[in-house]
Amino acid sequence: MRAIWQKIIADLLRRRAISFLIICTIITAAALLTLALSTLMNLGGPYDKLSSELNSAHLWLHFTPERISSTDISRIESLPEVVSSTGRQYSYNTLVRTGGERLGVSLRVLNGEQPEVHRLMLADGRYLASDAEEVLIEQYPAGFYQVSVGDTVIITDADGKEVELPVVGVVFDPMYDTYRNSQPPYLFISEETLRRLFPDKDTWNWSLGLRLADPESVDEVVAEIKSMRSLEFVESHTDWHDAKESALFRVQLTFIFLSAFSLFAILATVLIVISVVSSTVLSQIRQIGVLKAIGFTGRQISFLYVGQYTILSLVGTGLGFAIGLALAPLPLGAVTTSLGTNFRPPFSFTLMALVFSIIPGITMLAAGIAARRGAKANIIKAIAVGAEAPIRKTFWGARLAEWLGAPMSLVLGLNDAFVRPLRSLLTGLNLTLGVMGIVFGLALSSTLQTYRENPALLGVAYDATVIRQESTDARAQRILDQAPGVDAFYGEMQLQVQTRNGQTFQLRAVEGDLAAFPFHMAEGRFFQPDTNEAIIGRGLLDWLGLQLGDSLTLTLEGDDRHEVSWTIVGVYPEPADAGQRIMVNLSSASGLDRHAVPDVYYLKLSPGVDTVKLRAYLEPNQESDLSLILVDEAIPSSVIYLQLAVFMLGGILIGIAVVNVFITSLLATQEKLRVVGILKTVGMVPVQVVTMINTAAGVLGLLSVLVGVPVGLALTGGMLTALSNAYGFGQVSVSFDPWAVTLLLPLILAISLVGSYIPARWAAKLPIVRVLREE
Amino acid sequence: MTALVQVQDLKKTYETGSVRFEALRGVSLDIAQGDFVAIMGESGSGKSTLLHIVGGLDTPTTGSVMVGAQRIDSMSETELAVFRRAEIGFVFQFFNLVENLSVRANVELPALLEQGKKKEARQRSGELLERLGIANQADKHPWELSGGQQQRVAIARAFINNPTLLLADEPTGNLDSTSGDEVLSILRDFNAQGQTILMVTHAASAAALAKYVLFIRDGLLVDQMPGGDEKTIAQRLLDLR
Repeated sequence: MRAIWQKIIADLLRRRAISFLIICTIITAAALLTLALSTLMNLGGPYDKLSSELNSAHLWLHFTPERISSTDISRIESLPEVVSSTGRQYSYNTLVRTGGERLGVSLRVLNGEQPEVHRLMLADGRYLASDAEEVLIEQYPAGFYQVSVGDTVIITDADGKEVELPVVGVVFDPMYDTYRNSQPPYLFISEETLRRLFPDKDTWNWSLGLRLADPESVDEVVAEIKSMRSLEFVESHTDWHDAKESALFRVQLTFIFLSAFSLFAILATVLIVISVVSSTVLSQIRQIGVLKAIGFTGRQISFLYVGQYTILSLVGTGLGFAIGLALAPLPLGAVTTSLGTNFRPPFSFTLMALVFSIIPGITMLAAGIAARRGAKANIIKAIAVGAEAPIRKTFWGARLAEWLGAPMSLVLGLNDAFVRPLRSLLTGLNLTLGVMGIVFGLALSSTLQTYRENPALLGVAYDATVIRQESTDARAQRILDQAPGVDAFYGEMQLQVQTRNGQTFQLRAVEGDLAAFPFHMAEGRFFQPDTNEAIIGRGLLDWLGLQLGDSLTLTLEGDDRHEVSWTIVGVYPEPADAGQRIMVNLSSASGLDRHAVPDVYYLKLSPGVDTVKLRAYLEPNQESDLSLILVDEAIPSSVIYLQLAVFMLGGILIGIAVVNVFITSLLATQEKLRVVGILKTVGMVPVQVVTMINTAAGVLGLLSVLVGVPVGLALTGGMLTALSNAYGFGQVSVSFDPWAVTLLLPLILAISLVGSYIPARWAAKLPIVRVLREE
Repeated sequence: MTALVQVQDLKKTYETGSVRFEALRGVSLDIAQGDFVAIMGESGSGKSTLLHIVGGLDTPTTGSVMVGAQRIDSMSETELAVFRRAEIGFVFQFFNLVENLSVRANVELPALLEQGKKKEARQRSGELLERLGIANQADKHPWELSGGQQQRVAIARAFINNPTLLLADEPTGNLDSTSGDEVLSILRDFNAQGQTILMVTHAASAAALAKYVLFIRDGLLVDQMPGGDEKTIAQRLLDLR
């Protein structure tokens, strides 16, 4: 045993350059794996961290004020599952104007800078000064309506007087929930300010936030509260699960790409370790033959190589894990930026155990299998040939090249590329991974660009929306008919509906010039006018377990007197509620609500429209109750960071591929020194030797492009589609610029040539006599 | 008559760390066109080193080597490769064929390293394989042939470019006596047609076929005698020990 350990140490020290390169590869692989696993394990981490820091309520109850009493509140707070409570909270729903837009908002009372339960996170500005007439705004509506610190909101008070309140801060409320419901934007003001604006406290809404001993027991607690009295006093409630979904849904696209990135990185890591370790062990067959000749058993040989590579792997994994942990906040940067927080994935023993199991485990497995294979080789042949027995027949491609009159150095290089198929396969696999990494990056980039240029693919088939408040639908439509620069519009009314099984979601009932809008259908077709046909978001289709052609019967939520059935004829990319919405003709929805009329209008604008003029037309004065909202970028700019990360991954994979080509070319050249010596003896000049060795690597590079591009595209498409389906978004059409292949080919060839150049030069300068004498 | 090969005061010293070894310590010799010269000596005496330097496989530490009109001791790596390809044919003890190329491809290899000689090479390889009695083995691979057949392939390869000088390093060392005799017979036939041959050998029977035999010891040429009598050559070799 001591002899084996001595041999392990001696080998590691003797082959310092290769040991170093293998450690570098393992460091990179371990860092990538750590990064990928940490990202996947912490996708919800930024939200959970914030929620914990802010001591958020797990359940918010919104009461019907006239039906609730202080005694009821006390009874609820004393339930055994309730750990702590926000106490009674007041709010008031009203209209405000800000930045030329009119919004329906919920004014929420915030007493003191930081309450004990359910604090708010300050993203910008400061908290409310006590009793000052000022306001805080929740960051999601702040971003959506482009309101920032220093802006003002104008509120018409109970006496009809306009009061101007400065926005002094932007806050994140972890329970602001827009998932499967339409929550008005939250503005926070002091109780004193609310009293001055709307003195009649009977018109205020009541709500209560509860922290529960078991956060998963929300449904049970709600049921228990509802059963407390025969008269229904809980108007609605907000579950922290929904709020979390809502917060994360805003970074849905980032999640899709981030998950794809992580899965690809894990796959790449595993294949890299297998290919590098297997190919380097298999190149040492001559040494294995010598060891067998002096009495090493097959088990001892396996132990020797597994030991060597385990040492390298543990050193590399340790360093790579540390680097991965240091870089772990980067991929989640898009998520944390969006939530307005900072988040460092915590050190996790599970993560460490996974990384230290996967990388050294695969290393040991690959080294063990390769060593066993080597140990089975015939001793004489292993010593004489110095490698796994090569294929001893001429490769047909080489014969073809010779027939075509290719230079002999090219023919020989072509022949060498496949002389040891397993090693060629492993090196080719490594190069292919590099190609796939780049294809992955290019395809993601191109797809994002396509979606950026065509928001209809994301379900945003319009250029602007108009919201009406007091005006009638007929008046709003008349104004829009004559509005300058509006080519077409359709109206929408959203209804909260439920299935017979009690699943609730929002229904978009639309009418108008629908044909003018470029609705993108992922499957099936758009519904016909004046029919009970419907199109559905992928998320809802999957949630309800429906298929195209199925019928869906719905009622209004909480009112099952009227039922309407629709036939599903198409799937569209629904941008809201994880795809869990349905769109129907407004006329068909009148069966649910006879008074349903649009309150939101989606506009198609003329190219180059003067939006200032349009806004002035729709909102001519402060009394106007139509609000124009122009569509912002459909894809958040934070996704660009993700593109960078993906290209970085491609770059890392290419770097690993160069190292792998170098290692395998060096080892392959060492193995075939005799052949190089013979060829030089019979007159092969140095440049021909370089050409021959470069050709062998170049052929693998060429094949890796031919294989890597389609496989990379298929993988990218498969991953994106699977993930986007999982997030309820539906089919993602991957686009890829075919011209990229023409750039990819010379790039990969260059990488192959760079990786094999040093071994080739070394072979070209090798003294022939030394080779022939060593034979 | 001008010598085809002129070697002047050739010295070759190998240094590995602090160890210094003088393989050749001042060898001078001339080989005329059409000569068949054998070099004999014990292992480590310097005979293979001399052969390698004359063939341009190695470079001398000092001294000069002329082959034909070319002085090869000062050639660059590329010039030496082109020189070997055009002027020298090599036959080795272990054949040194490329395993995964066919017999015909092995033979044609030196010719095809120069572009545009494909047709010529195919014709010449056909003639050589025919002459050496292995034309029916042309599409086989070296590992499918016997030792004697492989050495014939090596000889065919050595003659593909009509070399000025054939260098043979223990050409029968890895063959049974019958195959060895056949190989020597082939070499003698080529020599009879004017081919100049320099052969290193341990075997007195092989050296006996040469026109004259050079004896080398500790890096110096110490004796020479005509070929022909195997017993005398063997005795002279014993005397030199």
